[in-house]
Amino acid sequence: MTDLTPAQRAELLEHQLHEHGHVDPQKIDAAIAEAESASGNYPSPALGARVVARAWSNSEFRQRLLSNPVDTLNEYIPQGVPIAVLENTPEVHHVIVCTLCSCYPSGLLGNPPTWYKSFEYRSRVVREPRVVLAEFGLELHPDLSLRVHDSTAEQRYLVLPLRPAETEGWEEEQLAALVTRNSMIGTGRPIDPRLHT
Amino acid sequence: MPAWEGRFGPGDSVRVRNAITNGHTRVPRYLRRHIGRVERVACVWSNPGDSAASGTYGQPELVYTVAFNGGDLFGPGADHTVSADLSETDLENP
Amino acid sequence: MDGVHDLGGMHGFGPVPIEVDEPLFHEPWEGRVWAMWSAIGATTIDRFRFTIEQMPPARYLASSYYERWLWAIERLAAEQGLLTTRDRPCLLGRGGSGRATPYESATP
Repeated sequence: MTDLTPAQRAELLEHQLHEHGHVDPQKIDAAIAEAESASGNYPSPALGARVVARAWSNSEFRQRLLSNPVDTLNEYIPQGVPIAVLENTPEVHHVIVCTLCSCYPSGLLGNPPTWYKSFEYRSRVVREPRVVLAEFGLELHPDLSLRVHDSTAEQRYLVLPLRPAETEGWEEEQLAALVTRNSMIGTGRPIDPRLHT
Repeated sequence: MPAWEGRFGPGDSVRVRNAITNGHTRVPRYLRRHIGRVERVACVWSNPGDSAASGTYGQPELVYTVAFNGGDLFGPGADHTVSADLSETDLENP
Repeated sequence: MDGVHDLGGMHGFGPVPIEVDEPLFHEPWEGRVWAMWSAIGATTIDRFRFTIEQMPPARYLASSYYERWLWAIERLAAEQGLLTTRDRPCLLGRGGSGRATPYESATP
């Protein structure tokens, strides 16, 4: 018997599960389409960016987000697992990992990027985070405290990045466009508008 | 958040137990037996080892966020902090 | 268990493979596997992770992320009786250590 490829195994498994009434291929099609649409209402970096932009603009929302993140994020999309928000400051920079598998705030940000799930990231970012962040183009000042958080339990983490300078008075939608996915994991910063004229 | 008080509180020094198991655990090898500082209660969740064995979720237990010095874990060049979320049953007094 | 999945701090891995603007799924089969996870809902996330952790180490390290999901979903579906004994021989994909899974040896 020749080895089946993953694609062949997946097709066979779906066929067999469908035959016994355990999956509906059309529902699978719909779930994939919805996930790939990356709309701002579905868990995705776009949704996370909306939350961050609002936290930057609205100090009452920011306080609620930090002190009661589950209830606050439930206002956007129901969160199935606990989630906490780690606030970057001028003194402290947070970065998230799951060394044991791939735990990620998917209820808010959607599926994690491949690099987050890679053996390279999982093994190295707890040991040598500054070197790893430099690979992402993020150079941190040596005086900036770096905190790596390993998502070992069911609680997931969102990094609330620092608001870029010279964005006073910006509308939430404009601010959201500066929020990158990596800045919400800690491997990047939001886009600096001064560098993009 | 839990309605009950846990064994540990913010600021407490705790040691990660060397709980040896053939089953599922969420204690990474690099933290075993290390001493860290409790930052806060992270959440409540049912014991992952039990739920992996039985396939059903059990009673919730407290999970703490514990911070460790990078230097203790990975040597003097590691000037960062590593924090992890660990069940109360995975921790003991140092 | 002291598996190879417990990667934190391990040496030997190289630069992080960063792909800018990657698609949600690199191959259609990955999306199918991701969506099929809901079919085995009668178990816990912890048992799903534990199943992946029990992959033979060389196979774990040689498998992509969704290949590991596929491994687990195949075995959990068999464990939950979602597949019949007629289906199970198709789980006998060779590769890795070639060691029999519990499902292979349990097939009457």
